[in-house]
Order: sequence, then structure tokens, then C-alpha cells
Amino acid sequence: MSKYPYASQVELKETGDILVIRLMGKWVLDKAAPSFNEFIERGDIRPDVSGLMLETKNLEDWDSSLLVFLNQAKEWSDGRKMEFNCDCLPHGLGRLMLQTQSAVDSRVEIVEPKGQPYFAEEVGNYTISHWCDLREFSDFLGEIIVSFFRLFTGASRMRWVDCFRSMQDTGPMALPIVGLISFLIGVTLAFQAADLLKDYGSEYFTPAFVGLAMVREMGPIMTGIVLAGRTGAAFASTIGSMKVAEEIDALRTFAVSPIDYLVLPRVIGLSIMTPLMVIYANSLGVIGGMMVAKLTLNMPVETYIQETFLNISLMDICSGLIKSSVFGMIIAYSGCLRGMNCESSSTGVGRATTSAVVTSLLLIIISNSIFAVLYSIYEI
Amino acid sequence: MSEIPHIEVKDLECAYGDYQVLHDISFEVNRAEILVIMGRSGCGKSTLLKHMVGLYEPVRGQVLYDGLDFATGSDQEREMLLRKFGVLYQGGALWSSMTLEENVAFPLEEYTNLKRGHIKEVVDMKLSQMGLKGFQQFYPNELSGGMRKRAGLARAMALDPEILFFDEPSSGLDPISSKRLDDLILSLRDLFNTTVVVVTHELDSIFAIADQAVMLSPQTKSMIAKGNPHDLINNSTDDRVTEFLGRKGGRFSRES
Repeated sequence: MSKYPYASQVELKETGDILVIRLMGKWVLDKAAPSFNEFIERGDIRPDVSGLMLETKNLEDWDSSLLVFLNQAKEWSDGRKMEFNCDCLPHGLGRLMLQTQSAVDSRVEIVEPKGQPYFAEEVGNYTISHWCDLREFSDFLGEIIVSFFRLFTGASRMRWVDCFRSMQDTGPMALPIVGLISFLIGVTLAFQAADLLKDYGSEYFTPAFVGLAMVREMGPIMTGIVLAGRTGAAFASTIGSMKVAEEIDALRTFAVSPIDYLVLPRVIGLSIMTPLMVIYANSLGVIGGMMVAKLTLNMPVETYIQETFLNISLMDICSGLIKSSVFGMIIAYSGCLRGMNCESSSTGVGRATTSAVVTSLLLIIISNSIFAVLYSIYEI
Repeated sequence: MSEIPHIEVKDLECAYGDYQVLHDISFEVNRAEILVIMGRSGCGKSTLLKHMVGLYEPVRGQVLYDGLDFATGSDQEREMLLRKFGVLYQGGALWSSMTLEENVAFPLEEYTNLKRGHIKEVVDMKLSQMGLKGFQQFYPNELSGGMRKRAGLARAMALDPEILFFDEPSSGLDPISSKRLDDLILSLRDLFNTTVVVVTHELDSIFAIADQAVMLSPQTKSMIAKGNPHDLINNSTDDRVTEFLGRKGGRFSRES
């Protein structure tokens, strides 16, 4: 016989080949109760017991805490093919136990989760999943291209009003943040350039440096990054939530292609809007540089502007704008792709959003490098 | 009489990737008939419905509408078929960026040449029919679950569809609204000869509206019964069917 340091108490007695478990005291969840498995291990049970009986004469109060104990007892006795006698249980408790047991439907097959896969299996799974990703990527791109051509044949269901709405959301709404970041980038570039060039006595090249750096690289890249975080994420979460709420299915059953209706306006809108944003970003970057030149190098504003335009060709500006249009497409494409492939749950929407931003940043950097190579080959 | 059934499902097999959900599903629905797809949770009722409306392509088998296969039909044929469908999704699936009026007007704008003013009149009528008069300018998130569902139904019925699909119409509705919805389904069928396919496990609805029922089983992943629910409960020899329809919970039925 063993006493336990709990408010709930349990005793073990063997009468013949029947194991009697006496439950006493309060079995409530806010007080620690003994675990059946622990208890039975300490009990040193004879191997030839054939039945288990429960006694509850001195049981005062109980809730799920007791049910946990009883279920473990039932499992244990079932495992040993012992008879489980619960006649003495209070009426409600017996019924509750029966319901817990029968809620597990033995007729439904439960697929065992797979254990840790082998290395080779893991490599295989990884390869297959990336191959599927790649196929998804190209399928989606193909669908957008087809939808774009449908636009010219008049068969598309795209509404221009949605396109303008997406331009409104991605353009004017993002002006403050894009402006601030570009201005500060211009300031930083000018400080760095002025410092470095001063040593060689050629600080008058500062406007050229800031201008070229902004127009060719920093303007498009920084705008791309801001829009990826702001707009790409918004696209993914909006479309993802629509998918979760079956809104996309509703479009499909009205024979409206979600690509025409949701994706194309966003892709077109962003690919038009991004270059415009880049022009704005470039100007603010140059203004940032100009302020620094005025304050630290005492360079007159007119000279700065003159120097800037002397050193930047139209080709430089265009190279940045062409690139930024592609970035715009990439951001819209990644955002919509992740949104459309979102899993049907709220965590799925979160994952889609994260993944949209990561994908667009990655693709922006990769395509920027490709542009750098192409521009250098064609000497643009 | 060899009339072609309005909807015919032939040896349908449904799967998500490698995971098979249903197989060997075959049934027919005649024009102006109400079919209920029933079964326990997780048996693939909604999956079957989504395959019927063409959201997923079947792995095997066909879904024929007046003898025309949805999956292999041309784009024009599919569009023509979809134009005849009205689908009410579980949560209503209203487009959250649009007001109720815009939601209901959408199919009318897409498929008819009606003037804006006329569309508005039709929308107002459809919304009033669902008890949503005065809510035209509300966004879906400003409405209760039941109202969203009714608005979803107004949208599904905007084009006076020949076939209406309902995915768990009474879930989230109070018993009175649910009863009204059943009455509405019956009157739509009687007045407009609409064929109705309903996914539900509400017994009251099943017995009230179904001409025919199809019961799916999560264990066999197939159809285990077909027929009028009143006949099924009286004559079926399958325990699973009588248990479901008679709401007999086996061991835990209420002790009297």
C-alpha cells in the first residue's frame, strides 16, 4: 500500500487475481494527480492478474484529471487483455469514459506520420519539391503571358479600373517611404563620394557619382526593395486571404479567370508604376546629394545640377527605367504567385507573404546582375 | 422514356495529388430534382461538389451536364456551362473588396448587356429577396455570418441559374433561417425548375428537401448509398446509413 503526496489518493490491492484500484480524495485539474503509468510501475504487479477493478467509495470530487487516469488504466488493461471492471464508477464518469473510447473511430484508417527520412530520401524529396516549384513558376508565368495576349484579342476579363486601382495603391501611396529612402541614399552616397574624391582633389565629380549611382543602380534597386516589402507582400496576403475564403473559387465558377481578374492588373499596374517611382526616387536622391554638396563642399546648386546633367546620358536613365519595369513585373509576379499557391489557413497566408518578399528580392538581385552583364556587353 | 439526365456523374475518382479522396462515384440527377450529398465529416462531400463545378479535374471518370463532359469541353463550352451554375460556398465567399451591391452586380456585368440602372434594380431585388434590403453599400466584413451567406446566395442566383450548388448551406445559420433556406430551395425548384445539389449533414434539411440522396463514407472513400432518404432510412440494410439518418450514435445514444 502506498501513500502519495497528492490531494487525490490512490491505493492498490490485489485480491486473488483481481487488481483493485481504490480512488480517493479530490481529483481536480488544479491539483497534481498521480499518473497511472508511474503508479503501476511502482506497484510491482504480479504477472497473473486477470482483471482490474475500480473502487470509488471515497472519491470526493473529480474532473478530467480522473478521466486521464482512467483512460490510461483502460489502455494498460486492454494492452494486457485484462478485464476492465468499471461498474463501481459514478454513473456520469462511466458514461464519459465510454464516450471518450468510442470517439476514437476504429474504422477510420489513421495514416502514421513518417519518421525521419533517410538522407537519400531527403535529397530526393528536396529535388522533387524544387522541381515542382520550378514548374509552378513557369506555369504561372505562362498563364500570365497567355492572359496578356488575351487582353489584345478582347477575350480577357481584366478590368482597367482594377489596374488603375493597383497603380494608385502601389504608386502615390508609396511616395513618402520611397522618397525618404532615396533622399537618404543620395545623402549617404554624396558623403562617401565627397570624402573619397576630396583626397584626390576631384570633389567636383561628386554630382556625377551620385547621379550615375542613383540613376543606374540605387534608384531602381531601392525602389524595388521597398515595393517588394510593401506591395509584393500586400499582393500575396490579399490574394492568399481570398483563396482561403474561397473567393478565388467563386471567381472560377463565374468563369472568370483569376489570372485575368486579379493577377494581370497587378502585373501591368506595377510594371508601369515602378519606372515612374524610380524617376521620383532618382530625383530625390540627386536632391539629397545636392544638399550634402552644398553644405560640405559649398558647391552652388546650379553647378551641381549642371554637373549632374553633363555626366548622365539619357541612356543611363533609360537603362535604370527598363530595369525597374522588369523589377515591377517580378514583384507583382512573385506576390501573386505566392498568393495563388497559398495554403488554406491563416499561417499559410503568413508563409505566402514571407515567401513573396523573399522570392521577389532574390529575383530582383539575380535579374539586376543579368542586366549588369547585358549592359556591359552592349555598352549601355 | 430515354431522357438525358441533367447531371450525370460517372465512375468519378477524386484525389489531391497522390491522396485519393473518393472513387467509383456514379449517380444521376434529373432536371428539377434536389440531390443531397451527405455523409460524416471528412468524407469528401465538399470535394465531390468542387469536382462537379469544375474547380478540380477528376483523376478518372466524368461529370456530364446534359451529356456534355465538363472536363474535356472547350473553353466556350465550359463557360456556357458555368454560366448556368450558381454556387453558394460555405462562408459565402463574397469578394471582400466589393460592396454587396458590387458583388451581386458582378455576374450581371460580366454576362449580360444590361444597363447600369437596370443592373442596380435587379441587384436590389435579389438582395431584398434575401432580406438584405438596405445593405447594398455594406462590405462583407460588416455583416454577420448568416447575412454573408444570404448575400452569397443572392450572388449565386443573380443570373437565375439552371443548377444551384450549395456547400453546407445551413452551417452557421440559426434553425429559423435554415428552415427558410430549405423553403427557398424548394420554391426555386418548383417555380424555376432549378436543379439543386446540396452538400449537407443536417438531417432536418435532408428529409425536408431531398428527392435523392447520395451518401459517402470516409472509410471506404466511396458512395455507400443512393436513393430517397425516406426510403433509405426504412429499407437500407447498411448500419452506417441507418445510423447516420436515424442519428443513432451506437454505444452513446441517449439512455432513456
